[in-house]
Amino acid sequence: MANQPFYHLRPNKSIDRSLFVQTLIGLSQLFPITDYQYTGFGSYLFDDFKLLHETLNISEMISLEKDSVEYERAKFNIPYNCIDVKNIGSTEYLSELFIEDNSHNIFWLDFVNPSELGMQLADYATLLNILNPGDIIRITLNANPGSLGKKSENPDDLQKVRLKTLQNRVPDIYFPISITPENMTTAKYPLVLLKILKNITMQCLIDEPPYSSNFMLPLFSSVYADGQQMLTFTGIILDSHQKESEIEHMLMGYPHNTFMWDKPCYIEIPALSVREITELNKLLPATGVRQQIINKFPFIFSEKAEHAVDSYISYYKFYPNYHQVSF
Amino acid sequence: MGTTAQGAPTKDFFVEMLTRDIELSDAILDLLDNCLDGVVRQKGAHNKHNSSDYYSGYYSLITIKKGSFIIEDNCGGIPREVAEKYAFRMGRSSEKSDDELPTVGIYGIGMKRAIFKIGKSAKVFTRNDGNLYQVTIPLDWANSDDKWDFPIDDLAFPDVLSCGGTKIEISHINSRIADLWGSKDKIDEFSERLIKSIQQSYSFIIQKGFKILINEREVMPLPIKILMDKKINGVGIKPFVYKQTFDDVSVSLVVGFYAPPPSPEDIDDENNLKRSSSDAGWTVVCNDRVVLYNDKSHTTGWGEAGVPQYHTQFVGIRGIVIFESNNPKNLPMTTTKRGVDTSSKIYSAVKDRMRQGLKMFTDYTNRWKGQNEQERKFSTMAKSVPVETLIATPLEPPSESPIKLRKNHGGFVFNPELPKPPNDKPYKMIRYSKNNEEILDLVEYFYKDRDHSITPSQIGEKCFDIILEKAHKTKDE
Repeated sequence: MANQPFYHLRPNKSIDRSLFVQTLIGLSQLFPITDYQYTGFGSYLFDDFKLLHETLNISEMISLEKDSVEYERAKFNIPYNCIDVKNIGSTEYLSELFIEDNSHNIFWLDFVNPSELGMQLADYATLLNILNPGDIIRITLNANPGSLGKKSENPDDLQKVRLKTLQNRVPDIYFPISITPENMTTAKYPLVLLKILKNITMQCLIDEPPYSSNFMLPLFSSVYADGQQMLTFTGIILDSHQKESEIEHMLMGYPHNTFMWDKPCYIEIPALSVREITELNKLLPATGVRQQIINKFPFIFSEKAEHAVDSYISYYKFYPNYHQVSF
Repeated sequence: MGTTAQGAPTKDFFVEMLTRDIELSDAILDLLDNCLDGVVRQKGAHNKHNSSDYYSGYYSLITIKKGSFIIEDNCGGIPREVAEKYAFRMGRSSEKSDDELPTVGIYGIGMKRAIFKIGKSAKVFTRNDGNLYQVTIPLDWANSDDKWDFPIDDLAFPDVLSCGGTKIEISHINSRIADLWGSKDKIDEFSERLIKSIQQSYSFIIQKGFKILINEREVMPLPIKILMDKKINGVGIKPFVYKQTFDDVSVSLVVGFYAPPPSPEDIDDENNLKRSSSDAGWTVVCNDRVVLYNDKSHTTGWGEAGVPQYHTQFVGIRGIVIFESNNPKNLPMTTTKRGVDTSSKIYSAVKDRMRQGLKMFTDYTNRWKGQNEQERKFSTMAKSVPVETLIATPLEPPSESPIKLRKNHGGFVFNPELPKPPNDKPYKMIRYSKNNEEILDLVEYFYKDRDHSITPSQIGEKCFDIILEKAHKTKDE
């Protein structure tokens, strides 16, 4: 997790985190979210840890840090006493993890490095095998097709090269059959990754009562870029389909939860000045305001970058404000 | 009056269908299964799970000669009523049930399939409850399609099968098999192969006292052992253990190392066929009968859900899963008893645990890659333990037991705490190949003796160390 400066200055990732908290708030009507144990990769800034402790009072937290130097730094920066930083990689940690019956868990596998996709998917699968019903899992993957290959001798072959790289990183049994080189684009690659995650999930959680009744209810996925395009999938493991409809009902007020594998939300808000934010927010919330915003702020939004204006209209409340502070 | 169209099957069709998909050795194993089921019928289910000599005193003798096949056992014989109503029918009738016994026969086709696989006629002698009788499958049975029944004759030879048992004599051997058993050498070669396949499938049963002789050669068991560090607490090489009961099926699982992870030389040897990895993989047992032996495929979770595909570096990993039930229909095995029924819901649930256990040891192997010497410090502390003793771990073991099961998802699990390499300096592998003569040149250079006993990778390491020391010195200057 080294070489990831300014984690906290990434507005789109910050919005994705806020959406996650919104989902958890919705779920807390049905599940004792405060009693859940949170495991993630806090690095040295612990943004997710702080947010979850501050908003939901989740107080049992484990942060995994593989690198021993980063580990020392993380320990130095612990924001709250309830965070236990462990100097261990996720693969090692998960392969020996024993999850007690009746314990509640939230895992966020917040991966960064695209070349380790195979290992990352393996960790995800390992985790699915051992989680309890009611546990929440979140996985972030690099969704920038450039990470599969930037150059090719013949530019027409670039997407073929990328597909080949992806096939080398993902085991055959998860690889969706319908994927062609045309899917290796910025717009479509996140959907390919979601398809792969879906295949793994369906193979691990087979929903066959009475002995293997666990299944995944997808909650929401988000595609966002503060530089590199990333994809985060969030789902909850259940063992009863009755709970499924209760959850869908409970989360109606949080429309980013689509409960579908192939309908991610796009968070693509450009960097905005404080003045721009103030003026934009004066127009919101409102219906049918899209065109007005495009007309009024042609230097920010355009018809071509459709996700940008739509995501601002949807998520303006969560757009973070950054200010310079002096201590 | 209208006429009818014939719908009855021909015997030829039946025999052909019945025998085409079964290997000869599997057909013979079916006959052995009948012997075992005879024992279970005699002794009942009581203590079968935990008795270590359940089959003691029972035997099966197989004699293969040019032109005949004989199998004789002392396992109680076929009850007369069973012979009259069920045992010789094509398929098991629905009214017949095995009264909740942990047998392996379910479909009631084993004996007939084996007989017709091997030959065209047979005599089945059996003594049950003191009474001896004979069922004959005549040579001309298949010639007519209307008469399906076989004659039964009572016999009065007090010396024959005096302890109760069955003897099947098959003659008019089918031509392909007659070729296979055409000479003494051919029969010897066939019995060798048969013994090997019996060893794989019947190890547990033989270990529990059953005797099998093929042309007077006794079949010895192939016991499965797993490495375990007997230290009570803390880090060490121990197996992953899991137990759970699904309605009337009880499951025990052990997976771990039977040999330490291989060194680069071991892997080379393996790839050059100097060593064989046939002991690695999963063995699946249903009511004492091995139905899958050392499997390394998706069937047993390799290459699935986060577990890597089998690869020679995992040559030290071995697992065993034991299913037991008084209702063999609920066991996850195929009709030929030579494979698992992957559509079984119980098997899917157990497979999750197989993968969970397997993953611990593939991860361990990956983690220590390139640090074999340091790893051996741990694996040499562990001793080979028969898998039966691990399976027998009580659910609430005494505090001094190195394996402590914990309740988990309706079952009991022991996750070992495996040793970890120190985290401070990550290791990377360096591998290269060089001309053998040139390597020997270096051996001679270092030891003044071309025959000095040292592996190529040790030479490689030595070269690296020398240059590294030089590099460090240069830096200091």
